[in-house]
Amino acid sequence: MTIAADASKPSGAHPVYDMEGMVHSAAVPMEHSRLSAFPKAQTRFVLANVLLAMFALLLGGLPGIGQALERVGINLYNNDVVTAVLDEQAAYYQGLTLHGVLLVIVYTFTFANGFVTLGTMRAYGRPMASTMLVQLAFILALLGTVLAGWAMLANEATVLFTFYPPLEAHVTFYLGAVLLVVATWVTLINIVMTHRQWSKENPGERTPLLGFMAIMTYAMWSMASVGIAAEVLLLILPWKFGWVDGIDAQLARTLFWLTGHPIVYFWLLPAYISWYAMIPKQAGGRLFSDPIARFVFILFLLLSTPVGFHHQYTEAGIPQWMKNVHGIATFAIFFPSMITAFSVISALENGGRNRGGKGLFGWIWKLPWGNPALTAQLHAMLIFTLGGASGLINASQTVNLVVHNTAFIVGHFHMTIGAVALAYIGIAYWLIPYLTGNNLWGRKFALWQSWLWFAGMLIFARGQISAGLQGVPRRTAFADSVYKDWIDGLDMPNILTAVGGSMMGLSGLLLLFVIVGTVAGMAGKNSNQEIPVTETRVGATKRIWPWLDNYRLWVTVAILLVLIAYIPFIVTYVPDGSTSTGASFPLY
Amino acid sequence: MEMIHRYERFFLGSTLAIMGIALVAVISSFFIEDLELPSPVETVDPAELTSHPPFDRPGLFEVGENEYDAIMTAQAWAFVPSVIEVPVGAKVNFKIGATDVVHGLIVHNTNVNLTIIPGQISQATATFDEPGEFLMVCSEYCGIQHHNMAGRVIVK
Repeated sequence: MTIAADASKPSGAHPVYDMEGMVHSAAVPMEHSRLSAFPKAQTRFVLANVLLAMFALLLGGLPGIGQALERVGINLYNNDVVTAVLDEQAAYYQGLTLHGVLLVIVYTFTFANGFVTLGTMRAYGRPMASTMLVQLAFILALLGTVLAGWAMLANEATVLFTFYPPLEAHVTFYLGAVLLVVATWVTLINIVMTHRQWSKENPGERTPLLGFMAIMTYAMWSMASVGIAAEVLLLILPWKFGWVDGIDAQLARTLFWLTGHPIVYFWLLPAYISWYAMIPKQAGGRLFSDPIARFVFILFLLLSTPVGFHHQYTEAGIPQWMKNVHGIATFAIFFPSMITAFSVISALENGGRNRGGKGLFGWIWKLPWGNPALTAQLHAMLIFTLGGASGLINASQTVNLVVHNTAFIVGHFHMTIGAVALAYIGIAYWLIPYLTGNNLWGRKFALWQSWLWFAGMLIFARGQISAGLQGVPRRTAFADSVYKDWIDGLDMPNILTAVGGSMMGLSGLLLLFVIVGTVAGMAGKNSNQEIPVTETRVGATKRIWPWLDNYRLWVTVAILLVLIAYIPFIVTYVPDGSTSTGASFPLY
Repeated sequence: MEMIHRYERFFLGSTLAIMGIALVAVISSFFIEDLELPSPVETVDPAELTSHPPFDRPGLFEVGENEYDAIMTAQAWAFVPSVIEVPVGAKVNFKIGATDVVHGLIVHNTNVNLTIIPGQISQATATFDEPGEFLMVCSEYCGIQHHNMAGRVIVK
């Protein structure tokens, strides 16, 4: 007796079932899933975003290989080729800055902007409301990447992607970061405009699930990004331009982490959109419940942001009781991710059984493991499970004092963002063929890429977690340090780090082949590709939980929760005498 | 078909139970274990730190029976003082401020893990019951010599 036993095989169309399992309405006909249904002026820019994302991923991944090999004493940073590009003295940290900014800001933002924009078009079965804004979002992101990229390559911004003031970068670095964030706001505006157009023509209709998730993802991020916007616009730029003498480092960090935790969910939610709305279809199954999926996205909107102090347990400027409040709230975000685990696994089980899987676990082997788009995302789910679990460890104050700012954290977030990165790659394995009208080239390479990334990431993370528990600090050129021989028990962790990192490097090389081969059309044309969208076991009819679609209500509650979480700090924080001007000599 | 399937209810119920257990553990660590996280001590203009008592004379000061205040400053790229010697069983209160950018202080095999933010004085306490050397490392990136910013607590 299994949950999925009652599910019938999905048909070709996209009906929505109500509670009795009856077809309720065909929200968007299938032909709206084809590329030809959307204006080229828009889909070309979606493709441009996805390709810029892949470029950032591959370029940003390169320094990562150097960092991993550095752990076993293989120093690539004094190599002539490397020093021709990077500064001889600052190479390690310059590479680290590029790694961070390109991967967690450029890659994630541009991919999300492209993928979620297309998802919105598919959801409403219509083009985006403004072609100009689709194009503007890409141009802003590209410009931001060029500005920040120049500063980083010129060794004018070796401040890592967190750029904690009063560490100082060139002004173009901050402007680049601002443009990248503004590109996401432009995307939100376009999503909301498109939603409004659709609801005017379809009064009283339920928002399609894909559209709902797109709105929630971008609403959450746009609200959360106010912290980093305030940090840059109100504190950093006035200081850079010399309008004020110094900067309040504690306040700047607090604003940074107001955004710095929810940014993780901005990376994650586009992957969740795929896992809820697309993966069930690709696995041959159905989504368990549409209303529950909406509920989960609402919880992420509400709970992602009012928890930032759990990144700041070791900072003196925040009273302990406030940290405790945020710490407890952090555990609440566990809940929507656990609902997701249930929904996604049940959809996969449904798919595996529809494909003939038997027994308790037999369905797992019947999943289409030969499809790299699915395999990469299955791997991503497995990695992310461990990433999420290690996040709960970090959130516990007692344990945090042991692991904070050590390599343990590096192990943790490579299993979260590294999983998301792989999920995006999986999406790209159908998205790039869809957008170019070319077949995926190098399916076996793509499968190897996924398996190598999966195994490499886990091995790498295991190495970093062990190193962190031995006391190795994060973000440190460890092999060059004075204390590299003073810490015991690092041989195995360092080897694991280097081996895992190299495997991911190899994985990146395979990814490059697959992308180039596909874009070049080496596997031929196919213009009949569709955006995979799942059917649901329980659909969202008008009767079921209509309050879920009350955007104003949820955004208002979300803002209130952020205010409740941060007002005690804002009103009691006394910045007397703590403005800082930084170092008297160049630090990089 | 029910709105929320009974399997889903069971799963979500179990999740809530696990969260409940985790919450009880975390909250009891606040009270029963008397957990102390770094909290506000005082704010000092970073440019004035080295002339602000007691940070004008960094060093180790005995304040009780085998209890010491380690008054330290952190700047690119050194702790002052960088070597601290105490007898076995010593209780050391680390009080540290940064003069330039953000630094960190991790004392190995203790619960001392501080982010030293310019303007804020950070404080944490450790008791050294075993003889030996305890590495102190800077745990927040502070420029190209960040990896050479380190020190030791020598317990004899």
